[in-house]
Amino acid sequence: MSEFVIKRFVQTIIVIFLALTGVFFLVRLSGDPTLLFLPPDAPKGQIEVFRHTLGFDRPMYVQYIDFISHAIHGDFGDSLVTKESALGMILSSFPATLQLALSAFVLSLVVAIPIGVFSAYKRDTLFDKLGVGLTVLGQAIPSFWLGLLFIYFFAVKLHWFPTGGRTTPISMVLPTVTLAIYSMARIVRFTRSKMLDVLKKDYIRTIRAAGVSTFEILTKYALKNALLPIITLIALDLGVLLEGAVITEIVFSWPGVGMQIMNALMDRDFPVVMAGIFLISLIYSVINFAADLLYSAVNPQIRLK
Amino acid sequence: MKNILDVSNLEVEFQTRRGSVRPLRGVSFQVHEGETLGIVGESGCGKSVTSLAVMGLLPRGKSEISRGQVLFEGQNITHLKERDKRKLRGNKMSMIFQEPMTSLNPVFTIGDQLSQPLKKHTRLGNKEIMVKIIEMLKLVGIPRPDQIVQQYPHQLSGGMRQRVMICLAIICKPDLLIADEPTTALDVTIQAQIINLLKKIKHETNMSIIFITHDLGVVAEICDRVIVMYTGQIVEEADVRTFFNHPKHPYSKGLLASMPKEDERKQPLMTIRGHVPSLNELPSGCTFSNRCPMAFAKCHVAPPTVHLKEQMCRCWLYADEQEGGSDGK
Repeated sequence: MSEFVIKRFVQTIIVIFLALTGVFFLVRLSGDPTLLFLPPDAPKGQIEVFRHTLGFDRPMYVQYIDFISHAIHGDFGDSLVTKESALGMILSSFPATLQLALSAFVLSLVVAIPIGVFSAYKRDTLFDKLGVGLTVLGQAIPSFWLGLLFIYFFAVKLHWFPTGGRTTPISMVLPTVTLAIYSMARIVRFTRSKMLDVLKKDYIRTIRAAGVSTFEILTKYALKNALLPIITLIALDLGVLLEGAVITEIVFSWPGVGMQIMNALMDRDFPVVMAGIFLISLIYSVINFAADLLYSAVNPQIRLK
Repeated sequence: MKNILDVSNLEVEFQTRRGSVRPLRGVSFQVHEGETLGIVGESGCGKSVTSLAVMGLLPRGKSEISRGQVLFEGQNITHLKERDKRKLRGNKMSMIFQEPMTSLNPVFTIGDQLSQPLKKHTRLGNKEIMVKIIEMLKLVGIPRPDQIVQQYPHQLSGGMRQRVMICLAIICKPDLLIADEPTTALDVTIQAQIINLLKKIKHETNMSIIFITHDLGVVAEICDRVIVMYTGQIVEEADVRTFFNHPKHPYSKGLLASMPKEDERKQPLMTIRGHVPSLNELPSGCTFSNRCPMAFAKCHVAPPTVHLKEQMCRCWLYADEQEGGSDGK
């Protein structure tokens, strides 16, 4: 068990390190930030001085080593724009992202698992076929486009919801649904196929022979077996939702980490971008780790090594 | 003797991709009170389908009882509503399955699974249920039952799991127990233990047992009467002594001849040539005719059911020995 934890811990470090390295070089491809902070007609000498104070005149590998050695201590530097701590800025917008991701997560679970179970029970009926068709659609539609459609119909045309922002509880509805659709569709499909597998098993026949009702088999006996693989997927989905929140936030001007990273990218505010990526990849890794622990907790046959 | 189970002219239809097939084609038999009836035959002869049809456990939507009826303790249960069938299952009639390794749910404890029939069919409270489970686990010969109830199936050996399965089946003291090849998947030594256990239980409770197997040695050991099935029909029915001493149907003779015997070590083992035909491609007339060493011209017509002195046989060879007319089927 402890060996497993250590192994996963090392893996997590490597994943975050690779993510930061990749993004470090990618954002520098987008150009030199100094030009953005100075007026277009600034004299060349002034640009050089400014570039020197920010350290962008050093060779790339020196900048990289400098960045990593600071990042190890949790120091991502200050925002080039606001001069505040980059990580602090990201952390302050994190609650909004978490709220969006968690509510989408809960929504997709509450809706998707019962639909998946019922679809398996009603296999090959109209309900099932319709359901499967819709899930394919739900997985195929990109969330930024779906978000725009929602805004157009429910906000602009019908005036039911605001077009964006995070002001009233009702402004949560559209971004939450937009974000939830994809993982909802995934969970429905997965639950359905796992339930179909489990319902064919010998032990389901055994429990039926003992007089247990179909309803109880669906909601207890088969569901628990089906949930084992579903739990891993679901936990991973929370990570996917956090990522997806980044895009959804931009569509709905939701003031979370995604918006923050997006704005920072536009401003070439590298420290904030790096801090944002660090947080997202850290959370993603931790969630994966938690998924594995959860899996072993519900499956008595798996004891982690 | 009172009949616990009376199956008459039972037909089952399966819907497959290549059209419908009939794995059971008019099966009639009775099980008397306190009797052990053996059903034998090769794989694919309809033994398991018969038991699933009686239990009402045929795969939903893909199969149905298309003809005939099943009377259980005088009640017609052929087309009983699922809700009413459920009250019988695990209670008045129950079943042990072939594969102990896969027949118990891996994510529920032994105790949880054993408590289900009691929760469904009795008014016992949780503590009484636990006491009953431990008592029954002792009866089926499981050591340390109070620990076993906390354990999961994968922590038990195959023999132990089959004991748990038997415990699950008999926990509500059913009148009819269907054992579908309960020893096939077990080691020989464990087989003998399980057979002895079933004998002991039968002796103590006087329940009727349908014992499905293709192991004739087991039949001799435990059964009172034997039914031989071939391609969804009963081809011979006899009490166990008559069956072993004077088998009539060529298929029964073939099965008996295929048993390895102590004094024939150096000779090649007898087999029945060919294999059980698929349900889509049954020969016309007697379905065994293409494998039968005694087949003759008449076998192209469906054989009559011949009632002899001590047995029933579906074969042209005995058409002349009929006692009191044939039904011509």
